[in-house]
Formats: sequence, C-alpha cells, structure tokens
Amino acid sequence: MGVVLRKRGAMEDLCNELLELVLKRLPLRDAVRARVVCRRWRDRIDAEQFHFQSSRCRSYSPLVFKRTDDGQHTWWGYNNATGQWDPLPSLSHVPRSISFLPFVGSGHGLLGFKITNELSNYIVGNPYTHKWRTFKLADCWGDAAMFMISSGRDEFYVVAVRDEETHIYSSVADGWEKVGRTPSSVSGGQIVTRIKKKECAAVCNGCLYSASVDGDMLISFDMGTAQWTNDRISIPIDTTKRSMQLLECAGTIYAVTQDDTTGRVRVWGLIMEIREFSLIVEMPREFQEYLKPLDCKTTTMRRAKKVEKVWLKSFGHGHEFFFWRHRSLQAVRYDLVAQEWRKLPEFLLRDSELTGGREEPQVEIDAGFFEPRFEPFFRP
Amino acid sequence: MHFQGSPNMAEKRVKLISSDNDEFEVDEAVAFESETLRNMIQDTGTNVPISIPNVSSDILAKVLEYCSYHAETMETHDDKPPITDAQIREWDADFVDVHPATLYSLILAANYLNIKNLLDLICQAVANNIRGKTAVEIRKILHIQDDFTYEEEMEIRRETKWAFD
Repeated sequence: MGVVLRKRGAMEDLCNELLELVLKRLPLRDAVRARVVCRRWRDRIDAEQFHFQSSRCRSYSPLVFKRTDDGQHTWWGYNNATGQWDPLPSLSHVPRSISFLPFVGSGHGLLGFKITNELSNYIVGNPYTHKWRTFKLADCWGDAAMFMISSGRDEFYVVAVRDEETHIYSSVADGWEKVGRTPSSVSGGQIVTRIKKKECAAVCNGCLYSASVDGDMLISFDMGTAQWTNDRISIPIDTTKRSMQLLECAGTIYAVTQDDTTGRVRVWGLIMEIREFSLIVEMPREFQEYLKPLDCKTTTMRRAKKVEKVWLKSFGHGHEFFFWRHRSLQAVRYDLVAQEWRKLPEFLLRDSELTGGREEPQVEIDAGFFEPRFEPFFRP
Repeated sequence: MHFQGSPNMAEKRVKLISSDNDEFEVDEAVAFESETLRNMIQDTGTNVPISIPNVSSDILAKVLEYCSYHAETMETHDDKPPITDAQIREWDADFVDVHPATLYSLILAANYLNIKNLLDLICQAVANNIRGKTAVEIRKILHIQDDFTYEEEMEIRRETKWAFD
C-alpha cells in the first residue's frame, strides 16, 4: 500500500473547512478536549460549537455505569448517531457518595441518585455544569422509589412512591408535597421494588406507568395533576407476569414479555384508541441466543442448587428498543422505523480500567438515557 | 494499474493522469463517482486523458479502488446476490485502515474530486483516530505544534473541567 509520509503532519495542510469536517465528527467530550491541541483547533471548535450543541441532537441510551472499589463512578453512553460507546463526564465531583445507578426518569441533562450514607437523602444535578442539589425526604422511614421529570433549565420534579403514600418534590419550591395515597392495587411491597429496579416502570407522555400487584392492570401516575389516575388498562398477555417489562418508545407504552420455557421474547404495543396491547414484534432466534448467557450461574444453597434467573432487561429510547441480560454487557436493539434488529458493538473496558482496582469493578448496563445539557464551553 | 469493469458491459473507458504522470484507465461509471470528473467528462468527453495535477498515483489508486467498489455495489446482477449494507460497511472499514498520513492525503483528494461519501468516510476515520486521545498524543500523532503557553492551556482546562477529568 502506497503511503505518503511527510516530515510535517499533513493535517496542517487541511484548510479550515476540511479541518471542521473532521472535528465536528468528534463526540462532544473529545471535541472539548481537543481545544487545547493548538490555537487553530480551538478556534475551529469554538466556531463549530453551535453544531455540537444543537444540530445533532446528542442523546445516549442505554448507559453503562462502572464503579471501582474506591467508589469512583465512570459512565458511558451508546451514541446512536455514531453507533459507538462514548465516555461521559466524570461523576467524581458529585459532593456526596451516591448509589450505583441513577433513578428512573434521569436523562434530560440531569441525573438523580440516592445518597448512600445519609438516610432518605437524594441528589440531583447536571454532570456537565456540576450544579448539584441535595434534598431530604422528611419523615420517611420506609423505602421509597423515586422517579424524576425535568423540564429544562435545571428545573425538575421528583416523585417518591412509598407503599402507603406518594410525595412530590419541586426544585422550584425546594419542598415536598404529599399528593395522596398510593393506590392499593399497586402497593403491597411491589411497586417500590419495580420502579427502583426500572422494571415494569416507564415514563410516557408525562405519566409514570407501572403494573398492578397481580400484573393484570396497567396503572399510571399523572405528573400534570400530580395524582394517581383511576385509569386501568388490562394486560391480557399470556406470560409469566413477573418477567414482564414496560418501556416507552416514540410516545407509546410497550410491554416486553419472555416465555420462561422457550425463552421467546415478544414486544407488545399499547394501542390507546382501543386500549389494548397488540403484538408488535418477536425477537429473532439469533438475537435471543446472542443475549443468552453462556452459562447460567448456579449458587449452592443450603438445601439445593438454585439456578439464578438472569432477567431480560429492556429500555426504549427515540424509536428504538434495547435489550440485554442483567449483568451482561451484550445488548441488541430493534429499530421501530426501519424494523431492523442489530447487535450493539460490545462494550469493552480497556485493560488498565479493569486492573486498576483491587477488586473487580462493578459494571452494568443501565435502563436509562442522557441528553447532555451544558453551558457554552467558552466565554463569549 | 487498471480497474476492470464487468467484461460483458461495453462501457466507455476514461483515462486519468496522476500528478506523477501515471496513467489510469477506468470505466466511465467508476469515474462518475467523482462529481469533478463527471463534470470534466461531460465537458470534454472520454477521448482526451484527464490530468489530475494534485493527486499522486498512490492516492489516486486508493481513490479509484473506492470508486470502483462503490460503482460495483450499484450494479445488479441476475446471477449474484446484491451486496449488503453490512458488506459495504465492512469493506469501508478495511479501506480506511491505513496510515494517518494516507488518510489526510485522501481527504484532500476526495475533496478535490468531490466524492462526498469518501470524504465523509475518511473524515469519520480521522475523527475516530483522535477520539479518546490526550492533546499531547494528538499533537504527536499529527505533528502539530503546541502554540499555547502553559497558563493559557491551564485556563482552557479550567473552563471545561468536566471534559478533562
């Protein structure tokens, strides 16, 4: 292969227009880092910053979180525009020690976490600007599941669902309000767990959807009225109700079911006009097998060997569904518009990231998304 | 170096001359991948060799390799299955797996010859080479002179601390 080698880097031969063509293909973080390379690069990147901020809607989903034994959080997002995993800004400046994964509804530029060493304390902030706000859920002894809706300009609401009561926090008022009892059809110790695990909980058109205790009904909390609605939609899906997942995609609620014996994975869409779920797509065998864990972990219990269930996880973002197995870093996606299944590029950690700590780091794909929102990165 | 089109197609051939005076002969369809060549051929026809004074023969060979593959993907054959998008992506990925200096020469050539898909492909490849690297590494790979003072560089890092953690 012929190679033209020159004494001076040929990159310097590129005119500004061509240099910009290259630079604007960089993920935001790399572009900002490249500003220190030289004056010409800084000026070109600053000239292009409008492009980085708005013309390509930057959105990452799903996310991968990693925590090492020293409590350091690192995270990445799958960049749909480039089909690659991009590193996202460090969480090492978060002023508290935080739980591993953010809570449901994080994503519009803000992330919310439970503070691990202070009871009933939470923290929400923008990892780009490092503006964080902590707040405490008063007189709450029981466990609460949180979900957040942010409305831009760093304003947000957090709904805390407990088995008995539901509270809502507004960042503008900086206070909590009790908004009534959690309906009995959703309590019983299940809703809190489900929302926390991001299973069977999805935010769609300003409502949080979940399933009733017996899995028969779809129930919802309306953020507009800040109330649980009386709306009940039956879920007549013949599957193990426990393994059903809810997700939001393109403004519609979908249910993902998995047959415990055959492993068949199917996606059902809620047709609002007729208030019924209808079969949308079934995962092809090839992709089911790609997601299948190589060996089921077995744990020796006192009495018998128990096969650990490896739950299917799913998430919807934009017009795509994402699927993976709990603790696995292999994921597939389904494009609702192109009606096409694809494997995501495998998420690989560099060797240095794996061997840095004493213990093996905890790494997990999270059912979440993130759309960066940040201040202009240079002073005008 | 000659790029053969399918033998059963009686196509017009185009002669191209590189900056170092090597002659290339390709099917018209291959040359038409380039907007610049298409315009030239439409103006002057295929009888006269077209000289490309700012692209050397090794780079022109690469460019024509790209053009002939992509022209071929547009053709349909009854006896062969069509080339899939996945195959094209794989081919493109192999194509850009070359020395950085070749990539920069290819950007200039693709820009001059106005081959949009090739320009996009190469720019993305160069961006991928830069990703995840520190400023020091980027300067070293691309032979770029650092023209910031220490204080200026520290100030830029402070402005956008989140990106440098």
